Amino acid sequence: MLSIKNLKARVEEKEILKGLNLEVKPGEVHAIMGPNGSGKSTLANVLAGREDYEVTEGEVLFMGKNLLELEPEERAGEGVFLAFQYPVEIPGVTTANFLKTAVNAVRQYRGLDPLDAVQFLKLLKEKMKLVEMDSSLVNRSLNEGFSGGEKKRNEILQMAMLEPKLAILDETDSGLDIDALRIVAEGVNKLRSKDNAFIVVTHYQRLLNYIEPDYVHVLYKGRIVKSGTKELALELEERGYDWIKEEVDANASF
Amino acid sequence: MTTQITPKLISRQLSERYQQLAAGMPATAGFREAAFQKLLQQEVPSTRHEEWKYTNIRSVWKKLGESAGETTAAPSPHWQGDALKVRLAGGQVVEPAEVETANYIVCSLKKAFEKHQDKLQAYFAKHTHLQDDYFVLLNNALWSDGLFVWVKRGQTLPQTLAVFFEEGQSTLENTRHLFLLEEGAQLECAYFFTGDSPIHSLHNCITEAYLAKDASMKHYIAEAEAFHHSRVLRTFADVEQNANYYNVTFVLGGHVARHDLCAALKGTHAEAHFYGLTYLRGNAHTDHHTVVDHIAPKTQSNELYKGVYDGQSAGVFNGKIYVRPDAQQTNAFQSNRTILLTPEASINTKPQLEIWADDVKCSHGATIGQLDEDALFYLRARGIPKAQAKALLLQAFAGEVLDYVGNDSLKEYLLARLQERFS
Repeated sequence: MLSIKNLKARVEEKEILKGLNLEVKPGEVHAIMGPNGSGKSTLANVLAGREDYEVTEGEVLFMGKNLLELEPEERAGEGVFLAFQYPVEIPGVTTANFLKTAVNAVRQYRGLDPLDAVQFLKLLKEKMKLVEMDSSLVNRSLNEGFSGGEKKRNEILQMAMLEPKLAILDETDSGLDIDALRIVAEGVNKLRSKDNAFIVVTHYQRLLNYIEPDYVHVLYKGRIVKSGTKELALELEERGYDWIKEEVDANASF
Repeated sequence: MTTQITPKLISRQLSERYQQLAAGMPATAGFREAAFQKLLQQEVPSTRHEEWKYTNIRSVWKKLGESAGETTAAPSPHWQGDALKVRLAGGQVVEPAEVETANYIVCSLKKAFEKHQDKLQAYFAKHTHLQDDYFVLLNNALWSDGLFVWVKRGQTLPQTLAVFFEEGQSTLENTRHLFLLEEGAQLECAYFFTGDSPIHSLHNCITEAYLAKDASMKHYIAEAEAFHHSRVLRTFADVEQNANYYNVTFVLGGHVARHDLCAALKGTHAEAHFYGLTYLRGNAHTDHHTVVDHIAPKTQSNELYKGVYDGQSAGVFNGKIYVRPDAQQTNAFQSNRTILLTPEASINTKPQLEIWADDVKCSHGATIGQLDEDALFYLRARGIPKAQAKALLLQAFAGEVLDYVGNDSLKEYLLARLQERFS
C-alpha cells in the first residue's frame, strides 16, 4: 500500500529525514516511536503534503502512485489521512459544515455522488457515536474552544467520515487523559480492517496498550534504526531510548 | 460614444447646473448660493490634505467623464426582498413619486421642500459635524434630489426601505437625503448602488438622520457592483437619549469609495453601532472614515470593520472617537481587522481617540495579516481543494460582519454576492 524509499526531507535549511525506508501493507498497524526531534512529525507532515517541508530525495508510492507529486487535497482523495498533533481552530466554520464540505470533496474525487443533507446527517450521527462525541460540538466553530480531548476525538471523527485507506496518527495521544485516550483508541480499533492501514506516531508506549501494533519502528536522526514487534515498544518503555542512541551512534563512528 | 470632459469644462457645467437648480427650487436658492460662493474659493482636496492623505480623490476628479473601457463583470442581480422600493437615477427620484400616510412619509426631498418645509426646516443641513469641506459645499450647492423620510412618534415604517441608486448616468451626481425619526420611531433602510455606465463617474451622497429619544434606525449599505463608479458617501446621524443608530456597510466593488460615517450621541444611553466589510480586487480603493462623538453620559458605541484586499487594492480605516467632558460612563469599542491576500494589496489604519472624561471604557485594536496557512493546509488535508478552502476561510472571516445583518433575506443576498467573489 505504502512504500517509502530513501526519503530525505528538510525544513528550511535543516535536513530532518535522512534516508527513511518503510513498507506498509493493507491491514497493518505500524507504530513509529523515537526521541524528540527524530523526525516523527516531519514524516507525518511530508506524507500529508505540507508545503513547509521540502523533499530532496527518495520516493513515496501509495497504491502504486507517486504520492509526492500530489496536492494535499489529492492525497486525501486517494485515501491518505493525517490526524493532526495540533488540530487547527477555525472560527466561523462549523464542524458540521466543514465535514460536509470535506466528505463531498473527497466523494467527488473518488467519483461518487455528493451526499445530500439527510444522508450526511445520518452518516455523521453514526460516526459520532463511534467517538462518543456530543452533538452540540458539531454545530460549533471547528475546534474553537474545544478541549484537548475534544479536538483529538474530532480528528478521529473526521477520519471515520472520510474512510481513508491509510491513516497517520501524529501523537494523537499527547494531551489526552486516560478516558479520552480510551475513547480515541476504541474509535481507531473499530475502524481497523483488513483493507486499511495505520501509522501511529507516538512518544509513549501507553497508546499502544490500546491500539496494538503489528510492527514497531524506532526513528532516530531521520532514519528507522530499529524495527520489531510490539515487544520492542515495551522494551523502550522500560529502558528508554539511550541504549538505541548509543548503538546507532557507535555504529556511525566507524 | 463618450465625450471627454476636462476639469475646466466640469466647472463651467457645474456653474450652469447650480443656476438651474437654484431657479428650479427657490426655497433652496439662498442656501445654495452661500455654499456655491464658498465652493469657488476651494479646490478638490489633494493628498496633502490630512483627511485625504491616503485617498487621491483629485485623480478621480480629473478622470471624470473619461471612458473607463469595457466593464469586466456582469451586474449583480438586485435584492428582491420585501421592501418599499425607491429608485434614483441620474440623481433624481424616479419611483415612487410619493408615499404618505398619517404615520410616515417617504418622498423626494425636492417635493419635501414644497410640501413639508415645516418638518424639515429645523433639521436640514443642521448636523453638528456637517462641516464646510469641498464635498459638503458641492452637495449643498448642487444636490439635485434625494429622499425625505419622516416617521411619526411611536410608529414603525412597515417595510424595509430599499433605495436603489443607479449611478453613472451623469458624470457627477449630488444626492441628498434626510431621515427624521420622531420619539420612539423605527425604520430599517438599505442603500444599493448599481449602474453600469462605461464612463468614470462620481456620486457625492449626503445623508442626515435625526433620531429623537428612543428612536431606532437600521441602515444597511451595499456596494456590490464591480464597475468603475466612485463615490463619496457621507452619513451623519444625530442620536438622542436611548436612541440607536445601527449601520452595516458592505463594499464589494467599485472604483474609489470614500465613506464618512458619523454619529453624535447627544442623549444619555444613546448608541451607535458601525459594522463594515470590504472585499476589493484589482485597483479598487475604499476609505472608511468614522467619527463617533460621545457628548452625553452613559453613551455607547461599537465599531467593527473587516477587510479582505486582493490584487493591488487598497483600504483606509480612520476611526475617530471623541469622549466629551460630560460623557462619563461611556463605552466605546473599535476594531479593524484586515487580511491582505497579495503583497501588492495595502491598508492604512489609524484609530484616533480623544478622551476628555475620566470614567470611561474605551478600547481599540487593529490587526493586519494574511490568510492562515495552517488553517488552509488543515482544510486541504481533508480533501477540500485549495480554492474552495480559501473561499471557506474568507467566508468565515466575513461571517462575523454578515451576522450583524438582521434582515434574513438581505443577509442571504449579501452572502451570495460574497460567495460569487470568494469562489
